Formats: sequence, structure tokens, C-alpha cells
Amino acid sequence: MANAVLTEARREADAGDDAAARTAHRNRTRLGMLFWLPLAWLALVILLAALAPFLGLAAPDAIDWANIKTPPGTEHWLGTDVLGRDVLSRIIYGARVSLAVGFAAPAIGIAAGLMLGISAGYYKGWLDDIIGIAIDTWLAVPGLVILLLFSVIFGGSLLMVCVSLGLLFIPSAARITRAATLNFATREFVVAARGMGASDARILAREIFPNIIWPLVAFMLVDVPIAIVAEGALSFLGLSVKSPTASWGGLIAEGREHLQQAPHISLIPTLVMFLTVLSFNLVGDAVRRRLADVRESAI
Amino acid sequence: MNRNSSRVRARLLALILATVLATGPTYLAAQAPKKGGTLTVALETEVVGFDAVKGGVLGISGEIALRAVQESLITANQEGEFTPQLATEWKASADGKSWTFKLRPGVKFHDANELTAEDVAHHYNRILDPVNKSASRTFITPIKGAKAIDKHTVEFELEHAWLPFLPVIASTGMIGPIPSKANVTADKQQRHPVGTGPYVFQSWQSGDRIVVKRNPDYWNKDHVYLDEVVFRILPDTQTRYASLLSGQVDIIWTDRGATIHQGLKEKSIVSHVAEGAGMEFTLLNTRNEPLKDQRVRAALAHAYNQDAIINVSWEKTRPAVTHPFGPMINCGEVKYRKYDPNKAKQLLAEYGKPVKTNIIVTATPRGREAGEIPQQMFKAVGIELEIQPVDQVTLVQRVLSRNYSMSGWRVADGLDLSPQIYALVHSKSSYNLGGYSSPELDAMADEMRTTNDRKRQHELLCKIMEVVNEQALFLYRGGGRHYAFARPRVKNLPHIWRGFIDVTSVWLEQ
Amino acid sequence: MRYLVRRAQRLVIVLLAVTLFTFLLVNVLPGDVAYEIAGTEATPETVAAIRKSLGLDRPVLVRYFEWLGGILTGDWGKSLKSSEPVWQAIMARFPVSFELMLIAQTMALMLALPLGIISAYRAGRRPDKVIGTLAFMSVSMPAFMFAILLIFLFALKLEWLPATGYEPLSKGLWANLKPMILPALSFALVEWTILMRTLRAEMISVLQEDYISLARAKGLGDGRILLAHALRPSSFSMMTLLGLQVGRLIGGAIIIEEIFGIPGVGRLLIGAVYGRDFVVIQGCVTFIAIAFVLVNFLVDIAYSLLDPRVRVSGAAHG
Repeated sequence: MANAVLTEARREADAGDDAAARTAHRNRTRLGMLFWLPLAWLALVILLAALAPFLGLAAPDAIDWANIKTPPGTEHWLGTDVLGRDVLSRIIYGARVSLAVGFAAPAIGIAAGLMLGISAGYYKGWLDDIIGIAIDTWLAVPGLVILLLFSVIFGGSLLMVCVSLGLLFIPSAARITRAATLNFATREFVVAARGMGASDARILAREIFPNIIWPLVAFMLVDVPIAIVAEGALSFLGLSVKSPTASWGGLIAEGREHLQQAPHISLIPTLVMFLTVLSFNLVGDAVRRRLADVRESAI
Repeated sequence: MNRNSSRVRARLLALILATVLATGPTYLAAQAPKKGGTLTVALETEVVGFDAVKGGVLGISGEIALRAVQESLITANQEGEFTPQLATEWKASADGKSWTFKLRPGVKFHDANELTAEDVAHHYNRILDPVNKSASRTFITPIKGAKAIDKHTVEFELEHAWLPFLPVIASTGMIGPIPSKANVTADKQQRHPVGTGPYVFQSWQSGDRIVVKRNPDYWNKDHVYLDEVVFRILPDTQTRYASLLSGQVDIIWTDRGATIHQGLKEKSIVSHVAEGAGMEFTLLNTRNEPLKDQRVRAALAHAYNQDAIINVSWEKTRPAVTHPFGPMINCGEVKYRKYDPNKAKQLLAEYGKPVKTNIIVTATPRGREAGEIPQQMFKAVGIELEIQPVDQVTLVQRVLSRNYSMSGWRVADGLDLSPQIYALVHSKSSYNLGGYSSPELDAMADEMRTTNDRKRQHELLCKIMEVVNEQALFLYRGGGRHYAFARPRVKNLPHIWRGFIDVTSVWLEQ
Repeated sequence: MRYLVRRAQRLVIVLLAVTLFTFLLVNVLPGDVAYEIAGTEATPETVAAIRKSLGLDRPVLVRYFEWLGGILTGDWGKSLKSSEPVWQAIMARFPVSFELMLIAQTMALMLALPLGIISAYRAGRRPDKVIGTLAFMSVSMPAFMFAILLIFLFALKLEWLPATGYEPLSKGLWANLKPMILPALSFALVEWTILMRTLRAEMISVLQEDYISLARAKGLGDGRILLAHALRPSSFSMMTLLGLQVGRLIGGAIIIEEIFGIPGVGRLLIGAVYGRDFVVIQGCVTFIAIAFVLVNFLVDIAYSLLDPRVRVSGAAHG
């Protein structure tokens, strides 16, 4: 229940934003610079990441023996790293990893959490208890330990990273879904549907699911940047995708020793990661507010 | 009047003389070591433990800490000269199969027990007993056992004359330093070593620090100056270096090129550099396809560019080598396979089939580079190398269980490397990790081990390396050169031979 | 009351599940501690013998129940690697981690309080937007990157603060606190955002209450209203969150502890995982789980005790 406070806190904070907007009588549906600029950055990053193999970049693992740790210049636009590899290329290929994890991990977590939460909230009883215990257990083990253990056991592949990070998103998604399901399961239209003989599956799909989609979308928006930061931390520790595959956290870690003589190796990936995560946060925030308005006006 | 003035003059002279005599020593004392203070040394790795059987292999970090607390019978320097420490005399029998040591009388352990031959014999026999499975036993099997002849006389019996014997006795790992028998049998040695050394073990917070305090009853107490030495465990190179600059630690060791160059340029700290022997290398498992085929191995060796690795990974802080013996032995080229991509391609064409193999590395900057750089080098000649990052434990396990194709490994620096070389190449050695052996190599190794002629031993070592290079069993990643950095207030730090930081006679300029 | 008993029952089940799950997971790890002990110059026989002497060749469930029996009688076992008693090892490190967390949360609070109050006070206007954007920026930078930049700036360049995070209290209070500043700040710079947003949200709704309007009508200054009347009822959720975060962060400080060389529980745990020291891994995870579950439980109790009062007082003013 105290963990409900955590999620409650997040939602209240968001609600507070809406209340603040109301208080200030601002036209809150206008999507300003704080939406378009970050969106443009994200579009750029996603585009470059998707088209990476066709951009004529240097191979991200190709060593340019003559240019070790060189600063940005004409030959290598963002310079080279400690092994003479093109930083621009590595950042773009690293973006592929970060974005893949950023979207896939929350998706996996939310999908699994959804199923668990709906089952728990709809069927209640012992199923609810078991799922609840499983989730409490999952929460009690430190996340990084799980990631560490998974990485050592299953090796470093993109799939493993997505799945193990995804698992960490299950508890909150399950909790939210369960609460929402509990809420809606007792509503009249559901009772009515059951009375008319609708099967459980139909009720779940038709009546319950559409009503919980909104909190989940809000969730997804918050989780994507969290997943990207988490992947950054993992690759910083060397627990994410195997080298020489580039990843943002890995680039930052590699450049750490050379902060004095060649700061660009760490700082440029840091900046890129920061801007990307920030953009996701800003865009997500603006979208969430917009959806909140839509939702309110719908009701 | 005259007699008075002469008496005054005499008194004046006496006064002057007295003053000179009084201030003379004081003037000299200004250059002499100052007593007191706490020295902080940063170690890179945690120590498992200090018990010769339970503690496994004592890495350089553990050696540095243990040296302050325990002492060996003799000490050695880079030139191979031995000086007495706990032993005052020693001699070998005519056939070299027996050595007798006379111990220094009146030396006490930190637990007040007197040092006797029984402590020495017990320590060595415990390591040598096959039942105990001590990790240290592997390289000293020619020693049959030790016996206490009387209270201060120890006799060692060997299978045959063995040139590495004195270097082993003088070593600073698990083998050389003598612990108190009482402490070992009370099973306390692992976490609380008790020796005869200038510092007494105080406390050990795992993962954080080991603290030792001055031994007031040390047998050579005039040469001990510090009140306390703190060994802090700081695995992260950046943090270690930053701590040195900010004054939190006094001495650090590092092998990372970037940090070394920063340290060498930094005016506020003192650099200590030592040339040496030993080497880092990549081990090839000749039992696995396609490394079974000598042409494939040779192709790998020719596609491999040691100089490039030294430039990029070590940032030129180490010498390129063709053998692990450093300046001690001049073997020459010994058929080292030079960087020659065309030759590599030729050999691959002869072999005929596509070559694909893998390398295990640790998930550290060193490890990553050890995989990524060769991967590109091999790609250039058409060999595919897969990199498998694992942690240190897994790496050791896979190499020891022969479940690897290529792996990073090292030959530790020391006075006599022949025990390591023997173990690496002999067919009967369980440490023959590469799996290659031949009767020719065995014969050379056996002769090398039993000869009493230093020159012949060197000749054979070079010949063995020639076979190793021809068969392309190792890929070299640079030889021995050690770096340590210290704050200017640290005085009397001896030459960091083998990368070993000896704090026992250090004093601090306060 | 019955609710609490049920929660306590669940707590126990969860703890058992945590320990079993971790034990099974750890046993799937490749390699084991015998290799760590044996080192790079060991032989397969040495390693096999070490395994046998540590009892690692017995079935998993047997070892689990043995370990469980030990825990229930207070024996947390000994490190397989160093023979140090696990409880001792954890107890030596826990105060360090806890101190770091406390300082980090205090710093986060020092940032969140004034900024949260200002944002709520000037909700929707420029200061609020600026602070909001600042918060987003802060939360978009991972803690380990803050750590690296802080070390680079304050330890290497300016040399104002040390780069390693720990000196024991025996050396003096300031000597103990000074190295903790940078690591705690690395955390605080991320943590303050959620605290600030929580405070802001609640304060905005409190500021709309009738008794606030009443106070304003009575002529009380804004400052007095904010601090004396509005702050306390608004800080309930934030303080709850603060407590929960401490429980969560004890296990999550691993990266910071690694970077700053702080001998905390996180570093003990990560070292044990790399060294396959099963007993220590079990002990650490169990300890962290107990701490986490206990903190949650206590907050639960507090919440259920205070909650009706909040509801009542809200209704009275509503």
C-alpha cells in the first residue's frame, strides 16, 4: 500500500501540474517550444538511428590507427575515441541500442504488468494474493542486482537487456492496472455486461481494457526516458550489449580515463544522452497534459 | 693578566668546541629520517586472505600489505643479490639437493612467540603438502620438504638442484613471508596475519582498508619510522589518481596509459618507474579448432601487431617484447613472428578454410581493449574474432577448465621466471593451459629445471621461447615496466622492482 | 489491527520468496567462488578441493534450507572467500551506506523545499516553469554522470573536495562528512525532482483551501502563510516519499559506491556477485530486502494511522 503512495505521488504531481495550469488561466492546450524543439531532436535521433547503415558512416568498430583520441575535426566530425573509432558513428549506432531498449523494455514490462494487473484486479481472491506477493518480492530485490545477475548468466545481448530491464517495469504497471481494474470492475456497465451473459474475455477486452489504457500510456511516456537512463547505467558498468557494439553508457565509461586530455570522448555522448532523455521527458510531459485535457473534456 | 686571558681563551675555545659538537649532529639530523606519521597506500584489488592455503594466490596488492607485517628468510634485489633478513646464513650442499638456513636469534612474532625453525618448517610443509591443495604449491614442487634441525636451523630438501630456490625463499607472495605457527594453527591467519615485520596488523575492513601500526619490539627497529600505514582499496583508476592529487593517499600504482601520462606530467607528485621482466599476453588453446592447426596460429601471430597495441592500449608505457624475461636475459628475436598481414593471408590461403574463433576478456577497460583491437587486426586479414566479456572469476574458471579459445593472461615479474615457464609448457604440468607439448619441449624444460648452471638455464629458456614463438602459442601484449606515483612527502621509497611497493623503511617529511 | 497482522504475514512470505528466488538465481551463475580463491595460478585439482571443502558440491535445496536454518538462529554464515562473518561484514558497511543516503536525502530536501514552495506559490507562472524545466533537466542526467562531472570539477580541477568517499568517524566529524559531499550530491541532484514535484502538487491543492483564503483575508503576509500554515499539511506525501526512497536507495547506490570507493553494502554485494560468494550475496540481498520491506511496513502503519486524521482535517476545512 505504501508503494501505492509512490505511484500516487507521481500521478498527483502530474495532477498538480494540471491544477496549476488551471490556476494560472493559461491556455494549457498550446504546445509551445518546450514541445516542438525536443520533438525535433527526437525525430532527428530516431531518423539517424534508423537509417544508420545507409548514412555512409565509418564502421563503428573500425580503428583509425592514425587518429587516436583526436578532437572533432574535418575527418572525424565528432573526433575519435580511445581506440581511434569515429565518435559520431558510435553515437548513432549507440542510439539504436538506447532507443530499442527505451521502447522495448517498458513495452515488455507494461504488457506483462497489464496481464498480471488485470488478472489480479478482475478475478481477485487467491490469484490477486499470489500476484501481489510475487510483485512485492520482485520489488524487494534490488534492481541492479537482478540486472547484474541476468547479465552474467545470460550474457550481453540486446534481447537480454530489453527483457531484464522490462521485468523491472512490471510492478508499477501491474499495480496501476490492478487499481484501475478494481475500480472499473464494479461499475454498472460491467455488471450489466455480465448480466447480459458476456464472457470474461469479452468484458475484459471491451469494457475494462479501454478504460485503463490512459494510465498506461501516461506510464509509458514516463518509463521510456527511465529505461534509457537505466541502459546507460548498465552499459556504463559494462553489463549491457557486448563490445564492440557501441552504447551510450559504454562510450561514457570508455572516455572516463581521458577526461583531462580528450574530454570529447565522454562529454559528447553525455550531452547526446542528456538531450535525448530530456526531450523524452519534455515531450512526454506535454503529451500527457494534452491527453489529460482531452480526457477531462470527454468526461 | 696573561694567565687570566689564556684561561679565558681556553674557556672560549672549549665553549666553541662544545657548541660545534652540539650542533654538528643536529645539522646532520636535519637530513635524517623523521619519525612518525601515517602513510596511506592505495591498492587496486581486494585481498582474499593471508593464509597460504586458504588465501589462494596473493596478488600484488596482498603482497604489498603483507610485506609490512611478515618477513622472508632472505631478501633479493634486482641484481639477484640476496641479503639476510630472518636468516643470517645459508648454504647449499654440494649436489644442491639440500639447503641449510641459520635463523636470527631473539626475533619475536607480534604474538610474542619467538621465531624458531619450527615456524619456518611448518609454513613450508603446509604449502607443500598435496592434501592441502595450496595454490602456491604448483610452482615449487621441486622442494620436497623442510625440517627443523634445531631451534634456529632449518634444512630444506629438494628433488634436485634447483636454481629458482633462493628466489622462491626470498619471494614476497604467499610462500616467502613467514607467519607465526601458533596463529596459523589457531586458524586466524586468513583475516589477521601475524609475522615478525616492522608493522603489526591492526584491522581490516573488507573492501575498504587494512591498517597496520608500528611494531615497538621490531628486531631492526632503528629502520622503522612511521606510526601507522593504511592500505586503502580503490579499484577505480580515476578515483585512485584523484585521491593522490587531493592528498587522501600518498602512494598509488597504476598500469593505465592515460593515468600514467598524466602522472608523469604532474609536477606536484613524484614518479617512480621500474623496468622489469614478465609480460601480458594472449593465450591460445591449441586443443580447439581451428587453433589446433599451426598455420592458423601463425596467421594470427602475423596479423597481430604488438606495437599498435602498445601505442593504443598502453599508450607506449611498456616495451614490446619477444619473450618474457626482460632485461635479465638477452634472448634476441627468438623467431618472434613479426607483424606481416600478407604472410598471414598466405598462411590462411594454405589452410584453405574460413577461420572463426573467440576470445574471453574481462569487462574492464584493459579487457575490452585486449579484445577489440585484435578483432580489428584479424578482420583485416579475414579472420573473424568473437569477443566474450566475462568477469575475472569466469575467465579464470574457463581457462583452467580449458573451456576457451583465446584469453588474456600474464607471466608475473620476478627474479627467476623458470618455474612459470616450466609449468606453462611441460606436458605433465596441470598448468599447461595452452595444451601444447612435445618431447623436444619436455626435454628442454626438464633440463632447464634441473641444471645448476645459470648460463645453461638461460640458454634453455631462450630455446623454449623459440619453440613457443615458432608454434605461435602466445600473442604478446607488452613486457614489464612498472609505475607508481607518490606525494613528495614520501621519502625513502625503494626502487619499485616488480611493481612492488615496499613501505617498510619509508618515512614522511611532515 | 487485522489488517496489520495480514500485512505482517505477507511480509514474512515475501521475505522467504526473496531469499529463495535469489538463492536459485545465484546458483545458476556460471563459475564459482573456488576459482576466485584459487586465482590465476591455480590448478583444476586445487579448485575441486576448495569446492569440496566449502560444501559447494551438494544439491541446491539442501544448501538453501541449511542457510535458512542458520538465518533463523541468527547465523548469517561466513564469506566463502574470506571467512568473514556475513553479519559482521554487512554491519560494518550498513552505517556507511545509510549515512550516505541520509546526507543525500537531506541535500535533496534542501533543494526540494524552497523550489517546491516557490513553484506552488507561483504556480503556472514563470518561476514555476523555470523550476519545472530545471527539474526535468536534473532528472534527465543519470547520477553516475553527475558523479563523474563533480569529481572532474571539484576534485581534479579545483581540488576543493576529495575524490574518494569515505573516512571513518574516528577521524573527526568534518573529516567524515567532507568526502561524502560529492557522492551525496550526485544522488541529490536527481532525487530532489520527485520530492519537489510531490510537495508542489500537494501545496497547490492546500493553497486553495478555505482556511488559507481566510488567513490571507486576515492580512497575514504571504511568507508567513506559506511557511507556517501551508507547509506542514503539504509535506505529508513528500516526507512519506523521502522515507520510502531511503529504503530503496540502500540497495541502489552501487554505481556511486564504486565510483567513489565507498565501502557500503552495494559494493559488498557487487563484489560478492563478481566473486560468486553465494553466502554474502544471500546475506546482502536478504538484508536489503528486510530493510526495504520493513521501511514500507512502517510507512504503511504510519499512513493508516495518520490517514483518517488527514481525511478528517481535510473534510473540516473543505
